[in-house]
Amino acid sequence: MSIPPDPNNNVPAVQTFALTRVYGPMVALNALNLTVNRGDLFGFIGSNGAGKTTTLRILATFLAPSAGTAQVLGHDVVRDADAVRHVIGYMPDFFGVYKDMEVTEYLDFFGACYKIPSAQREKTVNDVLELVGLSEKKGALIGALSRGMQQRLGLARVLIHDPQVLLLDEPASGLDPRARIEMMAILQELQKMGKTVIISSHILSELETLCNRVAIIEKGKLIYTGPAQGMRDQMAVGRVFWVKIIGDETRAVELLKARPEVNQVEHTEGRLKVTLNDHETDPGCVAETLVHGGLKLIGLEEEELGLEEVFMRVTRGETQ
Amino acid sequence: MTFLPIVGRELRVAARRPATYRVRFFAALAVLAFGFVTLASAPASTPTHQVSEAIFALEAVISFAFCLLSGVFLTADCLSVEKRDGTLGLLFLTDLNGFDVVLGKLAATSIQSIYGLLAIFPMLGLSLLLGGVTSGEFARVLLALLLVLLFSLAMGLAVSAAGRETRRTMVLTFGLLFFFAGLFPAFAWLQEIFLGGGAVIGNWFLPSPVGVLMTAFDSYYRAGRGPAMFWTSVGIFCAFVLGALSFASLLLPRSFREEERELAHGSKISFGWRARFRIGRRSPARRAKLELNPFYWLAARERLVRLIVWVAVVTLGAIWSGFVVGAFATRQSGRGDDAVGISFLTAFALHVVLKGIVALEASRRLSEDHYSGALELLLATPLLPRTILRGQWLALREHFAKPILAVLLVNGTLFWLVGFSKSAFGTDPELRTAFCAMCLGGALVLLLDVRALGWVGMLTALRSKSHARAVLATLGRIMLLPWAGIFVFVMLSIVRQGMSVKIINELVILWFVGGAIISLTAAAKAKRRLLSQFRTLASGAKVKLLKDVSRPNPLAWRIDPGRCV
Repeated sequence: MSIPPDPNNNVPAVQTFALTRVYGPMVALNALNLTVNRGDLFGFIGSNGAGKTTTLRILATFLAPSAGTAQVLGHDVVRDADAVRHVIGYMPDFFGVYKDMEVTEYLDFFGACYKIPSAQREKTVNDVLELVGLSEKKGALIGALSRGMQQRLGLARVLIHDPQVLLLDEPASGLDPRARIEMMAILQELQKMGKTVIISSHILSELETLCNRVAIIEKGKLIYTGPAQGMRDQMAVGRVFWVKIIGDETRAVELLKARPEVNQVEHTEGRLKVTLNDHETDPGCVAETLVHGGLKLIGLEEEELGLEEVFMRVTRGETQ
Repeated sequence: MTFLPIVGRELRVAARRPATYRVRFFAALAVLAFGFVTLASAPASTPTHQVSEAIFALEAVISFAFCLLSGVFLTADCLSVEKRDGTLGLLFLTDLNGFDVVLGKLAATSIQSIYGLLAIFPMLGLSLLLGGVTSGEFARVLLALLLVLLFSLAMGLAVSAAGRETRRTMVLTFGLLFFFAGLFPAFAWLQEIFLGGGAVIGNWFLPSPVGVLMTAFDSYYRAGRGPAMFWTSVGIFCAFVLGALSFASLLLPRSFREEERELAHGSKISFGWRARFRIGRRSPARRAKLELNPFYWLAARERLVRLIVWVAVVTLGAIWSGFVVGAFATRQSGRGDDAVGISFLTAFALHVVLKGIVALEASRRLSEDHYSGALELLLATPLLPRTILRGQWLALREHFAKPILAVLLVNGTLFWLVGFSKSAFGTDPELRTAFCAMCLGGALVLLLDVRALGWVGMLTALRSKSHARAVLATLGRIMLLPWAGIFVFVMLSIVRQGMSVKIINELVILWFVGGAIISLTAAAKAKRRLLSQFRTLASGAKVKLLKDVSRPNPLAWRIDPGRCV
């Protein structure tokens, strides 16, 4: 079946509208509204059981939503599931490989499942193996491949039909640092090729540098979606400063706590950790308060908040 | 120090499982029902002690079948599944040794069957109260059944300790049990038919579970060599059980580490594996399969099943041929009639084994893929569930078409021998009709059963937790009632000390019609569910859940086959 080219390139790669999935009494997804633009390398972040895998399985048409709808490149995942399957590549968080097959046999089989013409398949298989760096393992038995190589093979399988949207559930889990870095490099390469990549992962530091946009989900609800770099600003997470003074530290704490711009002051390891209310607050108020209070300020250093810290702050680690 | 820590844990786990209690209840209920039917159908003129003897013997035979097959379904995959999952190694990281693990597994898997057997014992005891059965006979039969159960479970454990794959361990366990329970008595009968001698129960029966049960009955036990044969057989089976458990315990700490040889040395794939999975073969026929239906290619790529089915058909076919030849060779003597009867019994066994292998294979691919997650990957491709089901059917046809034809040939031969030849098969003209009906009806029911086993096997593969359970559920749905019907039929004929040909004909027809209705109904139901709910079943979600939630089009996912598949 051939999918007619989408005339409207403005349609987002993925859109969900009040997407809900219920397992008995448990609400795995609670009215999730999510938009992923074309060409995005989109990080999908959440604790275990937050609903990431459920979302990806619904987008992959494997699971039916209990309520709401989801679209991939404008195709509804329920009503137009067959069209969706042609444009997505889904890699779950397990291998699901046939260990008794050769690498090329495996890809050839999935190529046939995607109805790639026989004459074209051999070249396609070689191309994707080249892309994921498995060309040398063509004739190897899958069961004999290392975990990292099996993961790459999974990625090769996802790419076999040249999908426009990739749904990757924990693609780097269990990989060693080298394999993880290589996997991330492949994903960046895929983004450059114009593909939309949705990646769920726990390795937030890597998502921060890799993804241009991220979403945080907790208890099935969307907490944040937007640029990875602007997350801290939008989440209204206050900047944190480490302050070193000469003088009465107890008095310094009292002075700073009295300021409305200051959210929290802690005395740690001979320094003061000052958290401002929001990102827009001028940090100059800290210095000004201390100096006017007669204290000698000898150090003022802003703490760089990574995605991990922001994630920890905006979520309470609650799962279903 | 805790004695046998795994045993304690496994027993506690088994005690919390509802199935443990269900098996006990239904085993007792089934035996009680058989006994009641027999008692109710016995003519008033038949002495009570004769009825009691018949009930006791038939209940013992039912219990024997239950005990003998326990190893195939309960223990054959219990260690191998842990090897595949890699959980066995965790146990050996502790101070546990092979005996702890094997005895723990034996305790866990045997508790259901032992409970079932314990529930049957009081039912067997009713015959003791009715008369006709001595307390010694009762005790010996209980001992024999317990030994057969332990033997079957221990054989399953030994095979499981050595193997890794569900199907191989189940088939090998069944093969071993068949070797002891089927081949030895068959050899004894062949020897008696061809050479004579007057006593079938001889040394061939000593290492056979059939022998230990038969010699437990007074009719054999009170004969000349009875006690010696029974107690020798008991000794042999105790040795078998201990030997199998020791083998499993000693082998397990070594075998759990061993990866599949091919997986450990993947760069050099052996000829055996290449041949089994047809790895690297790019023949036009294989490519054509892949183009026609990728799932057909996947399900048919392994050739082990063909070997299994042909070994079974050829072995049983050879035994059957032996009895047919024996019937001709000895048609002047009374032994010819025995040969005719056993040839029909062997043909029936051939049908049963073939159906068992069909059930095994029909559920295997989907069950394994469902368990490994590969099915999820397939369903994310444009491959439709209807295509997957079609591919599985094409693979089943490729594997089983010729063996089924061979079995139909057996039926055809029996039909010709009974209906048209002047041989020991055709002595009683009135019985000819009944036997001809059995041959034709058996052939028809074989075809219907294979179709039903295929559909139900695929359905249970998506619903069961393991392949072994899927096979058991499949066989239970299609074969249990017809098998129960056969037992009732045999019971009635024994209690009534023979039946008129008219009644036999009616019962045979009733049996075939009943079997056909069960098969057709089960197949239609399974097919409908598979076509409409394949994705729901594959995702592991219960359909009931979808009914509970409100959504704009809540049922569209599962009731619109055109869109879903």
